[in-house]
Formats: sequence, C-alpha cells, structure tokens
Amino acid sequence: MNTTMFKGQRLSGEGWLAHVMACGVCLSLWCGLCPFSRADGALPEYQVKALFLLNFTKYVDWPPQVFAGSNTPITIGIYGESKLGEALQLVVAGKSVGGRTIVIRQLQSTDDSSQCQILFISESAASRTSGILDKTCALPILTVGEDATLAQHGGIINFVLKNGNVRLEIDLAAARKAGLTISSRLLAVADVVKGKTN
Amino acid sequence: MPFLKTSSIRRKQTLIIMLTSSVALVLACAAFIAYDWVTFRRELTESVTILADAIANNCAAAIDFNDPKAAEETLAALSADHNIVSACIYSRDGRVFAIYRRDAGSAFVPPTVRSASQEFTRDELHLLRPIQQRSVMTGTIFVASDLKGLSSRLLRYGVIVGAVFLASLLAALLMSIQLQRLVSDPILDLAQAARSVALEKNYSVRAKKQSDDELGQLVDGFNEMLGQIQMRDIALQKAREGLEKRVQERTLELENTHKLLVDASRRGGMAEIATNVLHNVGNALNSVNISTGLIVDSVKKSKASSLAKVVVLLREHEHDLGAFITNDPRGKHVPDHLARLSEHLLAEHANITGELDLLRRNVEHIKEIVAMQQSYATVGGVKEMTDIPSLVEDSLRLNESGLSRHGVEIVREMESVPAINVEKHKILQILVNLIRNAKYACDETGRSDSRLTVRATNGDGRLRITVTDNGIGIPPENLTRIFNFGFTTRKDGHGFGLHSSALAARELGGSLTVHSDGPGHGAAFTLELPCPPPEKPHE
Repeated sequence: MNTTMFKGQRLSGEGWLAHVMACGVCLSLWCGLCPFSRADGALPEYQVKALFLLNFTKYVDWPPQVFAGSNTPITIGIYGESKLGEALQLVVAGKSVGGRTIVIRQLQSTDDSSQCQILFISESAASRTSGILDKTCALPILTVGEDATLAQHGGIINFVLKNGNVRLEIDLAAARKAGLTISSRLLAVADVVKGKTN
Repeated sequence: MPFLKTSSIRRKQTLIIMLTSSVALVLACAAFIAYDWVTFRRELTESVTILADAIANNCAAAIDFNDPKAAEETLAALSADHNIVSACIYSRDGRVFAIYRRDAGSAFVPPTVRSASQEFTRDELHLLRPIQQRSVMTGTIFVASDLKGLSSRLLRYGVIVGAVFLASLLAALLMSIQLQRLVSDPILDLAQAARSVALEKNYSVRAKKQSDDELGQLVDGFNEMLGQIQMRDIALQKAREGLEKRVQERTLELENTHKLLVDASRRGGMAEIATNVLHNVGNALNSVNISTGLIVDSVKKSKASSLAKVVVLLREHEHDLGAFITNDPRGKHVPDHLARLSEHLLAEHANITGELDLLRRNVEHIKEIVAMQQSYATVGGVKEMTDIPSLVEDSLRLNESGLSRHGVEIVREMESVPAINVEKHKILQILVNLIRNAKYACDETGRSDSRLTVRATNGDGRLRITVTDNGIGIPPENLTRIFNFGFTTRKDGHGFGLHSSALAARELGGSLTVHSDGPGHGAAFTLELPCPPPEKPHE
C-alpha cells in the first residue's frame, strides 16, 4: 500500500522533495505529512487544520491588486502559539498553488497582518481576536479561526469540531466585505454558510 | 477448381461478379464496422472522460476538506448514466475516499490507483483521471463503464450490414444475370457458330455481330477467317480437279509413250535379231553358193561325155567286139580307158556327194536360223518355259559369224539352271545385245586373246546370266549412266541397246547391272531374273 502510494505520488509529477523529506523522518511524522486523513481521526487536529489552511488557497480568489506579480507568494500569517505553525511549515514546503509558493509567518503584532492573504488566529490568541479582526476586516485577508466568537467579530472561516472531525463554518458576507471570492465547491463542503445573498 | 473448368462462361461470369461484389461488400462492411467500433470506443472514452472530469471537479473540495459524504453524493450523480458500472475516488495518498456502485449488491473492489489511463477489458472500460484544483493534484477518480452500448450498437450494425449485404447481393445477381449477357451472348453465339463449323464442316455459317467492341472484332475476325477458308476450299477444290485432270492426261501420255517405247524397243530388238539372222543366213547362203558352184563346175567338167564316146566306139564294133578289143589298137585302150573313167567318175561322185552334203547342211543351218527367228518372233507378252542354256546357245549362234571372224574365244560356264517361264525373246534380245557389246569391246583392244565368258548361275531364288569380256572396260564415271537412253561410246551407236535391255530386264521382274574395274580391265554385265524354287519342277 505504501509502495503504491509512493508510486502514485511520484507519477503525479510533483512534490518529490516532500517525499524525500518524509522518508527521512519517522513514521509518525511521515503520517503527519500526508495531506489527507480519514474521518477516523488518523491525523491530529492541528495537522488537519494546517492542511485545510493550505487548501483554502485553491478555493479562494483574492483581488488582483493583492499580489505584486504573477508569482508573488501567498503569505499565511499565524497568530498565537500552536503546533499548527510547524505542521504547516512542513506541509507547504515545496508546494505552489497557481504558480505561487506559500510563505508562513508567525505574527506578533496586528500591524504585520496586512501583508498576509490568510490570517489564522489560534485558540491561544482568541482573546485578541476582536482586536485583530477590527484591523483586517476591510482588507482582502481570509481570516480563519477556531473560536466560536470569531464570526461575531467579522471572521470569515471558523474551524469547528464535529464528531471529532474538523468542519467549516463560512461567513460569506464577511468574505464579500473583504473583497474575496470563495468557490462554491468550498461552500458545498462547509457545514454552515452564513450571509448568502439569495 | 474442376467445376470452374467445365461450367459455362455464363455461369462463370455470374460467379465472378457475385464473388467480386461479395468481397467488395464484405470489405466495405468490415471497414464500416471496424470504423464504427473504433469510433464508438473513442466516443465512449471521451464521454466517460468528460463525465469523470466533471465528477472530479466537484469532488476536489470534498477531498481537500475531508468530506467523503459530499464526495459520495457527487458520485451518486453517475446513476444518471446506466452504463457506468462503478466509480471510485482516491485521495491524494492513493487511499479510497469514496465509492459508487450502480448495483448496490455488486462486489466492487476498487483497483489500485495509477496515473491517468484508459483500458478496455473484455466488457468494461476502465478510466483513471487525476483530480486537480488550481493545477494542484488533489486525488484520482476511477470510472468503469460497461460496453453494452457497443455490443448493442454492433448487433444493430450487424443486422443492418447483413440486410444490406443480402440486398446488394440480390441486386448484383439480378443485374449480373441481365448485364453479363452483353458479354456472354456474343461469345456463346460465336461458340455455337464454331461448333457448327467443326461438326458439320459447314464454312458458310456466320456468327452474328452484336456489338462494336473487342467481341465484335472477334466475331468479324472469325467470319473473315471462315470466308477465307471457304474461298481457299473452293480454290483447292478447283486446283485438285485440274490436277486430277492433268495427272490423268499426263498418265495417258506416259502410258502411250511407254507403249511406243516398248514397241520401239521390241521392234529394235527384233530388228537386231533379224539383222543377226540375216547375217548368219547370208553367211550360210555364201557357203551354199560356193557348194552349188563347185557342183556345177564338177558336173560341167564331168568325164561322163567320154563314156558316151566309148559307147559309140563299142556300138561300131558290136559284131567283132572281141577282135576289136584284142586286135584293134583303139580297142586295146578301151578297158584301160573305162577303168580310168570309172575311177574318175567315182571320185567325181564322191566330190559332188560331199559338196551336196555341205549344201544340205548349210540349207539345214539356214532352216534352223529361220525357225529360231520364227520361234522368237512371237507376239509380245507370251510366256513359255525356256531352257536357259539353249537360249544362251541361240544368242551365241546369232553372233557366231562376228565372233568367229574376230577370233573371240567363247567360254561357257553353265551351271544346271532350271527352265523358267518367261518371254524368251526378251532374254534373247538382251543376251544378243550383251554378246555383241562384248564383241565390240574386244574389237576395240585389238588383242589376240580376246575372250568372252558366258556364265549362268542359280541361287537365292535368282537366276544370273553374266556376260564377261576382257575388252576395253568402262571408266567409273560412265558406270552410272551406261543404261541411260542415248548414252553410247561408239561412233555409230544409238545409246539404245543397253537402255532397252535394262527396261526389258525390269519388265521381266529382274535387273541388269554392270561391273568394271575400269578402262582396260574388261566388263561384266549381269542379267538377274527371278527364279522359282527348284522344288517346283515344271517338266
């Protein structure tokens, strides 16, 4: 099964470096590198969230002026301490979406957030949510959080746990306010979608 | 194919047309079916690919955000296509993420994931497509479609093709039966004409021309050929009739000439014999003449008159005869005189008797010669039993005077040969001729030991009479033409003797041949005659 997996990935023609790295680390770590996991919770929650964060880049369209050039990297900013940051670093290594590489930044001050396209507010920074979102809600930044209060403060996507699985709640109105377009396919897999126009 | 050899051209043509159409139809149908099969597979692949890609697009988010239920719901849309047997979505790491089965109870084991591929199994199309979102590999979708569409389509096609095939064959058959007559009718007509010519030898038959193509040309050529044969036949017939007439005429001429020649030769031969006869008769008459003269002289000079004087003297003294004889001086001489006279008369008588005997013999000889001449001068064609030795003797006798005059020695080497039934004057003619030629050949040399040998032998059913001389001989170049008419080496010759002799020999069923060792070595002529076997004596 593992062999087949390798073969399939290699033949897909991408990410060989990630696999070489994966071979270098221990099995558990390698498991953590796997982009997907079954709903039986084979992956820890933070790794699933890290993957989701990466996958958002495929379903969200930013206004063109956000990027200086066609290959300007997408920057994911992270507030608060979390294992997610490390996991995300490993996941995005060597990846590119639509010709753009992914850059991870650990943010300390709210001033830094304007440079990001995705802003993740970890549970540890939940207390600062309102402050952070106040500054970013008018900017073309996809704000993601894991706190139930996020939506109240104008956050766009919130991770919720349901039966041990990480699910999504999306606030379309907030997204529109930020000038972002979210793919209907992403909406289709979200548990809750608020602010639909129709 | 023996069937094809014997069947008629009409059937052959139909068969050829049908075979050709069938092959063309089969090829066309096969090409159409093959094309459709390939097209169907391509179309099926395309449609399933489109379907798979559409599903894949809608499943990308489900994979990305770990929502198998959403993926299965999306896959369930495949039920709209009855041909899709099963489908399955793999996550990026190759694990099965969601499954679709058309028939809920069927056991579907998703194949191991591979790169994008398409593969036709016996009754399914297996398609693997990548799932991508923004060019990022998200997972893989597998779709299996059955080929019922293909088989039903092929079946439909098969029915249509079969119907078209049969209809086309029927149409081709009907058309070929009608159209092949364009070709076969003239050929059959021509064949019929040719057969009637061959069977009935009727060259006035003409084939009917039905078209202006090669067949028409063939018919024209055939008819022209027949015309030429007819004309040639007529010409040949005429020529043959003329030839027969000419042969008859020429045969008649030849027969006449032959008759004339035979007559001439016979006459010639007879004349020759006659000459010899007369010659011999002349010689004999000479002797007769001499004998007669001698007798006349002898009688004239006879002393018989002096006897009359003695008688007169004795009559005068008949009264004193005794005294007269004893006393008279004249009377004394009478007895002596009478004695002398008697002696003389006796001698004279003997002399005359001898001459008369010679005369008688000569006359006898003449009689014999004349009789012989008469015996040979029979009507041509009469055969009689002939004794060869006496015939040889006759021929020698006919040349006797010449031979003895020239002092030619005659040697006879006669075996006992049987008498044969022939026209003997012909043999005589030939032998006289040969003997005379031998005599002339000897004359030419002027030698004193001239010799002529006549040899008769018998063997192998052939009787051979060879006349050999030691005369001047014959040069080799003349041997071949010596029997030709008009060939002669003598100043006063006619070149007829040997020619007619050879002809006569052939008429007798025999032959006349010559042998000579060359000039100065003499020559040998051999007359060969058929001789019946000795166990059939004729006497």
